[in-house]
Amino acid sequence: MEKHSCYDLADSEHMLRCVQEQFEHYQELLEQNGRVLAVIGDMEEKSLGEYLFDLNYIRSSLEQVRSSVREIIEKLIVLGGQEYESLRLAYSTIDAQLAQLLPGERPIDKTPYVLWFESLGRGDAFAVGGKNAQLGELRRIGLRVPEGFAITAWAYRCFLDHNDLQTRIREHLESVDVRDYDALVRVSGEVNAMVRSGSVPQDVADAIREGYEELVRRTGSEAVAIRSSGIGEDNLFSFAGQYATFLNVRRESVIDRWLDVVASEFTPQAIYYFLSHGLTEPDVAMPVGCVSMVDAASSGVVYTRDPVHPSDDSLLIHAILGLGESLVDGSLTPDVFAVSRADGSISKASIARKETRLAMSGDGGTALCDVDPVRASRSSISEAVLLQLVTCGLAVERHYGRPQDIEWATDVEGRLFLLQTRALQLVRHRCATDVSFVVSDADVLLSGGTTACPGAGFGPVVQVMTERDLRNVSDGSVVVALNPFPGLVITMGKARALITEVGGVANHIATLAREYRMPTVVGLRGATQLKPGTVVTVDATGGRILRGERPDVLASRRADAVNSFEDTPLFQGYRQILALIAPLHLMDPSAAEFTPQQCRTMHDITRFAHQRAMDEMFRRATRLDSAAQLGLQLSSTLPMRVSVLFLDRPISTMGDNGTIGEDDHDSLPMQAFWNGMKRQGWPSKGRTSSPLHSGLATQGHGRPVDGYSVKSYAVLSTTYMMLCLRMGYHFTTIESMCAEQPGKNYIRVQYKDGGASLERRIRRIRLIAEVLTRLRFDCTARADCLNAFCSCFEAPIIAETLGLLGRLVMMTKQLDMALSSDSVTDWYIEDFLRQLGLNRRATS
Amino acid sequence: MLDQENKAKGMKFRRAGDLMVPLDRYPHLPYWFTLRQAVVAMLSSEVDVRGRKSLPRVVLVFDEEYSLLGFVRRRDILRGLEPAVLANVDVGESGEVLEQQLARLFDDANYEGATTGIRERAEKAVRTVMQPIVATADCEDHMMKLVLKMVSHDLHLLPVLRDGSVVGVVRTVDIFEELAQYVL
Repeated sequence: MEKHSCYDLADSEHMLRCVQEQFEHYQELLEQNGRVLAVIGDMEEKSLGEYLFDLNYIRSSLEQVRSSVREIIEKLIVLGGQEYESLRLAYSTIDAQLAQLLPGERPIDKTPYVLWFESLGRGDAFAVGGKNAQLGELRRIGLRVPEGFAITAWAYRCFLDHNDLQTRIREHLESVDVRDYDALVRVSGEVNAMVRSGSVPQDVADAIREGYEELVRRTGSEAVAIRSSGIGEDNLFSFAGQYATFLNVRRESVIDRWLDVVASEFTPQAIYYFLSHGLTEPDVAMPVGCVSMVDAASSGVVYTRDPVHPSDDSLLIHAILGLGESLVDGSLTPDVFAVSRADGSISKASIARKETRLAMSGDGGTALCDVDPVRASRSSISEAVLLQLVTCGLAVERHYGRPQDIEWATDVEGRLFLLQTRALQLVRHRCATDVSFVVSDADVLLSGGTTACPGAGFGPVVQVMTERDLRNVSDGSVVVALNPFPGLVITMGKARALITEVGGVANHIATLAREYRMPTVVGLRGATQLKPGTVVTVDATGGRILRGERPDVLASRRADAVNSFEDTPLFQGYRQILALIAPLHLMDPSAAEFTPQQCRTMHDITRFAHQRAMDEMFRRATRLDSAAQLGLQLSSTLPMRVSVLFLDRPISTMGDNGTIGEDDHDSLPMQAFWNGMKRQGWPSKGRTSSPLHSGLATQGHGRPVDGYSVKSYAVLSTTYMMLCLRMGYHFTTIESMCAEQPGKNYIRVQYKDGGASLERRIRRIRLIAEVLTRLRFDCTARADCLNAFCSCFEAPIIAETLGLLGRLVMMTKQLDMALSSDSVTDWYIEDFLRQLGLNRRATS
Repeated sequence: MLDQENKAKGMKFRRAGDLMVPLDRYPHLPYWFTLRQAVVAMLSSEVDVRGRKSLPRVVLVFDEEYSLLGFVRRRDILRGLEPAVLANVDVGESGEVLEQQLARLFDDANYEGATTGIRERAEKAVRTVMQPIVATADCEDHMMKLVLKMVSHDLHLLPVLRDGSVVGVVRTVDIFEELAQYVL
C-alpha cells in the first residue's frame, strides 16, 4: 500500500503498538482518576452529616483512593518519565499522616516497656494510649497530675506474642455474632481465660515491678491505680468506660491487675463495642497506666462547656465525695454546678444527697462507706476548689483549642489533681425537621429526664436491672435500666431507645449513646416502674416517655439522631481524614506552584497527575507525524483529507483498502464532532461560479503551506478522539474523552493562527472564547492562540458539545478575514450564539 | 497654493501607494459569506484614514487562499436583496402602471411575507452579487492614472498592487480629497 511506503508493515505495527500502549496507560490513568473523584465525591457528601457511615466505610473508601492514586502515579511515570517520580514522595507523606488517624494503620512502635509521664506528650498516644499521653501533656503545661508511668503498647504486644495469643484471639472473634448476647458472653469468657492464663515475659514483668518500686520511692505511697489507656481511645472512637480500672492496687498484685486490664479488652461489652465499629483486636492495643493513687476527698468531672447546650457560657462541674468511679459508672448522682466561664459565678448548683462514698480500703481495693449525715446534704466541694476547677478547666481547653471533658480529684490535703482529659463531645442543636406534633398531657407517661442523645424511638419496654437481663433485649425494644452501667452498650445495635432512672450526661453510657445514635434519656425518675412489654415512644429530645406509638414524634425527631452523629469522635476523625483527601489546592496548571511538592492532599496528586498525563498524551499525539502516514484515509462528503489512526485495534483490522467511511467507525467523539461539521457544511462551496477563476494574490500574511485542509489527522478509539485539523490558515486541535463515567470525560480545544492580520485573528479568538465559555469551557487566550478545557460532563453532553464545536469550527473558517472591527466581532458573537442555540441557554 | 509649495520643495504628485488604504484596514469577506454578513461589514466597519472616519461603500471579496476575487457595493447588495419578481417589472412603463405593479407587490398587508423574503435572500453568498476586478493600480501609479481608470471603468475603488500582490485599495474619496487641495 502506498501509504506504508516508508515503512514495512511490521515496523508500522510496532510503531502503532508503542503508541497504543502509551494510550492504554493513559486510559487506565483516566479510569483510576475517575474512580478517585467518585470516591472523593461520595466521601465529601458523607461529611455533610446527612448520612451515617462506619469505620468500614472509611477504610474501604480510603483503600480505593490509595490504590487508585498509587496506580495513577505509576501510570504517569510510565507516560512522562522520571520527572514525575517525586509524586511518590508526596503520596507517602500524605499517607503517613492518614495512618496516624486510623486505628490499626500503624504497627506498634518498639519502645521501652515502661515510659514515665514526664517523658510523655500528646504525640505519644500510639505508644502509651490516649489517657497516659494526655497526662504527660497536662504535666508539661504545669498542671498537677499524679506521679506515674505508662506500661506501653509494646509491652502488651510482647505479652501477646509470647503466648501466641493474637492468632488465637482473632480466630475466636471472627466467628462471634455481636447481636447474640450469649455468644458474646461465651467468647468473652474463653478469650479472658486465655489472656489470664498467659505468662508474662520476664523482662516485661521486671520492667513493671521496677517502675512500681520507683513510683513508691517518689511518692512514699504503695497504693497505685492501674488504668486502661487503650490506643484509639479518644481518637475515632471513645471506648468510653469499656475497659477496667483498678484502684488502690498494692505491690503484690500490680502484675495481675495489669493482666486484668488487658483482659478487660475482651469483656462482652468491649468485644461488642469494637466489633460493632468494624475494629479488630490489632486496632485496639492496650497500653496501661500505673498511677500513684490519689486518696480522694472529692472527685468528679469538668465539662468546659455544657455538652447539651454548648452555646451557653457555662462550665459544668460534677462532683461527688470520695473516689470518682461511682460518678462515671453512673451509680451515684453527683452535685452539679454550672459556672460562668466569664466571671466564675455559679449560675446553678444542684446538691445531691450523699448516702455513700467510695473510699480506699486499708488492705487494697475500695469500699463503699456511709457518709456522715451532717455532710450528706452539703456540697461535696468548697467554693475555692470550684474556682480552681474553673481556672484549670479553661487552661486545658485553651491548650487543646476545644472543649474538654476532664476527670479530677482532690486529696485529703485539698490539692487538686487532674486524672484525665479528652475532647468533649457536644450535642449541637441543629435545625430539625419541620414535622410538627402536639402531645397532650394525658399521653405523657413520664417526663423531666435529661437528654443524653436526642432523637426518638418506640417499642415494648424491657427492664434491664442486671447484666443477666441483657439477653432479654430483642430487636426494637425500649431498654429501661436503673443506672447507666457499661454493659448496656450491647443493646445499642438492637434497641430503639434507652432510658435510665439515675445518672446524668457525664457518664460513659451517654457518650456511647451518641456514638451509636441511640435516643437516650438519663435520670428519668419512675422509669423502672414501667411495666415490661408496655409499648411506649421515647421522646429523647424532650426527655420524656409517651404512651403507645407516636409516628408524628418519631418523624419529627428523626433528624435529631442523625445530627447527633456529627458530634461523634468517628465523625470528627473522619473530617480530619477527609482534610488529607478532598481539598484541592492545585488549581492553575500554569502556576509556578503546580508541582508534586505542593500536593497536600490525594486530590492534589490526582489533579496534578491528570493534568500532566493529558499534557503528555497531547504532546505525543500532536507530534505523531508517522501517524499521518500509518493511518487510513477518512472518506467523507466534506472536502477534507484526514488520516485516521485507531488506538484500540491493530492496523490489519482497520478499514478497507486504506480508507474508512466517515460513518463506518465507532469513535463516539469523532462521530459527534464530524456530524457537527457536516451539519454546518463546508462553507466555501460553489467557487467555480465566481466571475474570476483566479484571484489577485495578497501580501503580508502566512500562506497555507500545504494548501487548505491537508494533513489533518485523527487519533481515535471508541471513546477517545484527538483531531488535528489544519483548515487553511488555522490549526485546530480537539481532544476528547467521551466515556460512560463523567469523571473521565473532557474536551480540550486548541485554536491557533489564521490568515488575516494579527488584530483580526485576535478578534476571532475572542469570539471563539466567548462561545466556548457559554459551553462551560475554561478558556485561556494568548494573542491568537486559545486553549479551552471542559470536563466531567455526562457522555451525551460531551457529544452535544462536540457537535456544536464541529459547527463552530466550520463557522469560524477564515472568519478572521471578516472581523474588521470590534463591533463587527460583537455582532458575530451574538449571531453565532443564536445560530448555535446558546443565547437562550445563557438567559435561561 | 499647495501646488506652488510642493513645486518649491521639489515635490511631485502623490502616488497610489501614498493614497491607498492598507488592505488590513479595509473590510473584506470570504466569498462564501452572506449578504447579511456583508451588510454588517458595511454598517459596523468604520474606516479610519488619516483621522477621517467613514463607513465603507464597498467590501472586498477574497477566496480561501486570500486572493482578491472582487468586491460588492451597496447597490450590489440591494440588487441581491430585491425579490425575483421585480425582474419582471418593466421600469420603462408609465409612472402610474409601475406604481400599480409595485403597490400590488408591496402592500403593507404583505409586510410579513416581504420581510421574510428579504431575510431569506440575505443568506445568499456575496459571490452571487460580487463585481469582478476589472482594473487595478500599481503602488507607483500617478494619481491622474488612477483618475483615468476610475472614470473610464466607472469605479469607486481600485485594488493597489505591489510586486503583483494586493496591498491596499484606493477610493474615489481619497483621490477627490487630494485633488481638492489643488483646486481650492
